[in-house]
Parts: sequence; structure tokens; C-alpha cells
Amino acid sequence: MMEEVAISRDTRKVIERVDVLERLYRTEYTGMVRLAYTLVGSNAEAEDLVQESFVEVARRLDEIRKPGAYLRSAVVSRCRSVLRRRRVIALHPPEPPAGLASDAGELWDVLGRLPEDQRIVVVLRYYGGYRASEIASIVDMPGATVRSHLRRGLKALREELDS
Amino acid sequence: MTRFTDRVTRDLHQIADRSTPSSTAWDSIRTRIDEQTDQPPTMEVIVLSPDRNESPKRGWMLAAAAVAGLALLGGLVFATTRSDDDTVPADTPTATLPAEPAPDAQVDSDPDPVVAPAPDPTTVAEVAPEPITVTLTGTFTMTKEFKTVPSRSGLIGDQMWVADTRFDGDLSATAYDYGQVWNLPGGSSFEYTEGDMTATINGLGVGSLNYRGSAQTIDGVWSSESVIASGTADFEGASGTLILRPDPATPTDSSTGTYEWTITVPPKGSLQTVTATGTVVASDTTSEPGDREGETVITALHTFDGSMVGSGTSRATAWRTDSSVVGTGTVEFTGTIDGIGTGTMTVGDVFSYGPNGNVSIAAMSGGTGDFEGISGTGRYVQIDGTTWEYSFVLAAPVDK
Repeated sequence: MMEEVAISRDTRKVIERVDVLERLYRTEYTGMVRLAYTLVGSNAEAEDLVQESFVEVARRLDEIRKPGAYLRSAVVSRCRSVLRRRRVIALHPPEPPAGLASDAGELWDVLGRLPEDQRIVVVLRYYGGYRASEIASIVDMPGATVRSHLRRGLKALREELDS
Repeated sequence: MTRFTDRVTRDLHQIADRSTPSSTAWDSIRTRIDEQTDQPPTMEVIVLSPDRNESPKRGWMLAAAAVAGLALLGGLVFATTRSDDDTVPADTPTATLPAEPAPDAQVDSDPDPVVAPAPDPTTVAEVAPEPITVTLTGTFTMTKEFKTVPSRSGLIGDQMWVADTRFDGDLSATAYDYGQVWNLPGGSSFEYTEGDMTATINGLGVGSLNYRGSAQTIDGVWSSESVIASGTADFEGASGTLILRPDPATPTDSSTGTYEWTITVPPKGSLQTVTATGTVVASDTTSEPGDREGETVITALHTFDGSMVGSGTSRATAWRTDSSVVGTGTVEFTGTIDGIGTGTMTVGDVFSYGPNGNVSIAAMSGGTGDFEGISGTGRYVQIDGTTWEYSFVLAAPVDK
């Protein structure tokens, strides 16, 4: 004999929301922390802002059509705020991670001196692998502006790294 | 991919691989979500009449538009038409912000306001279809330092200032300001500020606020008034004023004092937000000396393309500083906006044309037709002598 278990609509909705979030967590969390780390250079800060972004996604889940895209935008937006605050308050990039190969350490230093928008766009393009149009959507900028930041960022990197 | 970009990609992956995502992060996220859900509201709110014609939001957005007019062409035209006398009267900066907050920003527009317990922040839209206004007071501590650094919008002034402000009392917030000191001839100074804040406000929720305004130092005592330009998360569509009143006994670079905020948040779900991008081209430009010494008034036809299609006449007022040309202006836009509709609205901006670029920071306010009640912020970036790229975020009421 089968027992019929009644699940209320509200309960079902909660279960569905948790399911969506958990799937998002499994697919996106590690990648988002690494992306954030590449931008802000602190593991604790990266985890904190990615978790904050998950909370924001959870709060707005009913309004969001693409949770993954929203999460990426939220994470990058928070990274930008961190970089902006750091620039105006401290003006010093974090120390390079220990054990980094010399080339990567050099890139780290130069990357830290780029204006934050150039840094974000370069990292999204060459670490995240996003196209300019996708970056425009993530950072909420016109495509032409993204391409301009990319061009200037790469030029600055090349000048510093080749010198 | 080139050898160089291959190297950048490889090195970035090496850097990223140094991060160590926590294995218990899911538990932390769940806890954070639960904490937010359980947060009890404790403040009283005043439920406003939905009468848009007298809403604080409209009043202040119009005030903001009056403060920050549009004048894309100001700098370039000014540069070619300036007179030998660049002095600016001492009273010029006072035109940039109203001396006192608009009366309707402080009070309910409903003649018989209803004082109600604060709704749960997560269900504001369901229980209160009207805008919600709260008045918040408390104390602040501000650490302020002056540096020569580029602002977020790319402007560089003779001097930039940054301020890190912590608020206590009716809200929990941390704010970072950016400003530019424009030391105008004539002895007065005017600071244009732009700031971001992350805040938790009892009864309204959690989110960030972007604000803009001015601070002035008179007889060694400074004060500031800002207008909320936009908000995110629970503060989407927010408007209002932020007033800081420092204790005169505290130094400018390390102040304490009291604050008074009035913030209005529309019911959730009542706004549609769109991002508008494209270009604006200026033509039929004329310029003439203004009423005040050292002032130039420029008019032009601005034609918008892209997400916004239409045009409007702009009127700008510009002054020259030691290193830049600064000014304000407005354009009355008539046309269509993708995702919103057709109507008219006012787009204002504060601009600076200096050695490090020509950038304008804009604010929008409605409006007629589908733009009634619209608000927004954005930027113009110059592409060539007559063309600018615009990027605006606009919020318009869905149910007009």
C-alpha cells in the first residue's frame, strides 16, 4: 500500500528554490571564487563576496531569469567595489600569492596597477574566456567601452611586461 | 590568440589556481540566507500616498536635474570661445545645490499619513503598494583624505578627496565617497561628489545606494547634502536625501556628527529597469557670454541613437578652472526608449573637460507620457568632437 505524502505548494516552492541554489553552487561556486580571487587577490575576500552574491541571488530568485548570469554580474560588481575602495583608501595591491611562477608574479604586479575596469575586463576575457559582448552584459557597459578597456589594458600589460 | 595573450591566459590561470575555495561554503551561504530571512524589522514607516505629482521622489529628482544640468558641448565650445577674463564670481558655486532640502522631501505627501508598523522587508510589495518613506537619524564618523587620484568616472582634478564614512543609529552602513575639488577663481570652492554605500536599513532591507551632491566649507565648517541617484537590491528605485551635519569642533579630515536621511523606496515590482546605450551627436551649436562674469552659455541640438531614439535642445553653462572646464546643463529629450516607451524627460549632467578626458555624469528625471516618474543615472564619454557614447540605467514605473 502506498502512502500519499501531501506537500504544500509553499513547501514545494522552497524545495525548488534550494535545489536551484544548490545546483548553482555546485556549478559556479569554485569558478566564481577563483575569478574573484584573480581580481581582488584575497581568498577570504573572494569567498566572502561570492557568498554575498549567492545570498543576493537567493533573495531575488523569483525575479531572476538567468541565475548564473546574475551571479556573475553580482560577483564582478562586488569585486569592482573592493578594487575601488582599495584604490582610494590604500592604493596598494595585495602581495602576490606565495609560490607563484615569476612570469605570473610579474603579471600579478602589473595587473594590480591597471585601472579597475581594465583589470576586470582583461581577467574576464583571458581568464574567464568570455567574449566582449558577454563581458558587456556582465559588467553593464557598452560593448565599445569593453573593447576599449580591453585594448588599453592589453597595451599597458604588454608595455610593462615587455620592458 | 597571440603568444602574448596566451601568456596572459596561462598566468591568470596560475594565479586563479592559488585560491582555495572552502569546502563548507554551502553551509555558510545557507546560514547567511537564513540570517537575512530571520531579521526582524523594528522601525516605524510612514506609508505614502501614491500621488506621483507630489511625491518626494519626483521633487528631488527634479531638484537633482536642476543641480546637474546637461552640457555635453560645454568644454570644447568654451575652449574656443573663452574670453580673456576667466574669473568666476564667488557666488557661482552656490547655484549647484539647493541650500535647504525641498520641503516635500521631509514629509509625507499624503495629507493624512498612516503610521504603520514596518512591513517585513521581504514582503513590502505585497502589503504596501504605495511607496515607503523612512526618516533616519543617528551619528556618523568620517575619515577623509585628500589625494590626487583618478575618480571612477575618469576625471582628474587639482585635488581629489575620498571619504570613508561609518553610520550608526537607525541604520547600519558603510559609505565611500569620491569627490573632486574645483578651486574656482574668486575664492569659493565646490566639491562634486559621487558615492556608493552598502546599507542595511530596518524596514527597508539591504542593498547599495549611489548618491551625488556637494559639500561646502564655509568659515572652516563643512556640511554636505546628497541626493540618492539609484539603488540596488531592496533599494532599487530609491530616492531621497542624505544630510550630514558635522560637529564644528571636529577637523575636516576626521569628522563626527549627526546625519538625517529621508529615503523613499517604491513598491517592489512597480518599476521596470532598462539599460540604455548608444550615441548622441551634437549639432547647431551656438555660444554666448552668460550673465555672470567668466560664464559661457552653450546651446545645441542633441540627437540620440541606439536604445534611445530622439532629440532635444541642450543648454549648458560652463566655467574655466586652472586645469579644466567645468559646468552643468540640461537637455529636454523627446523620443522613445527601448523597453519603456515614448515621452519626454529631462537629462542633466555635471561635466568636466580636462587633461585626462571629457566625461559627464548624468541624471534623468521624468517626464511625460511613458516617462512619467522615470529616474536614472548614467554617463557620457566623448568619442569625437561632436559625438558621445551614453550609458544610462533607467527605472520607470510600470503602472502609470
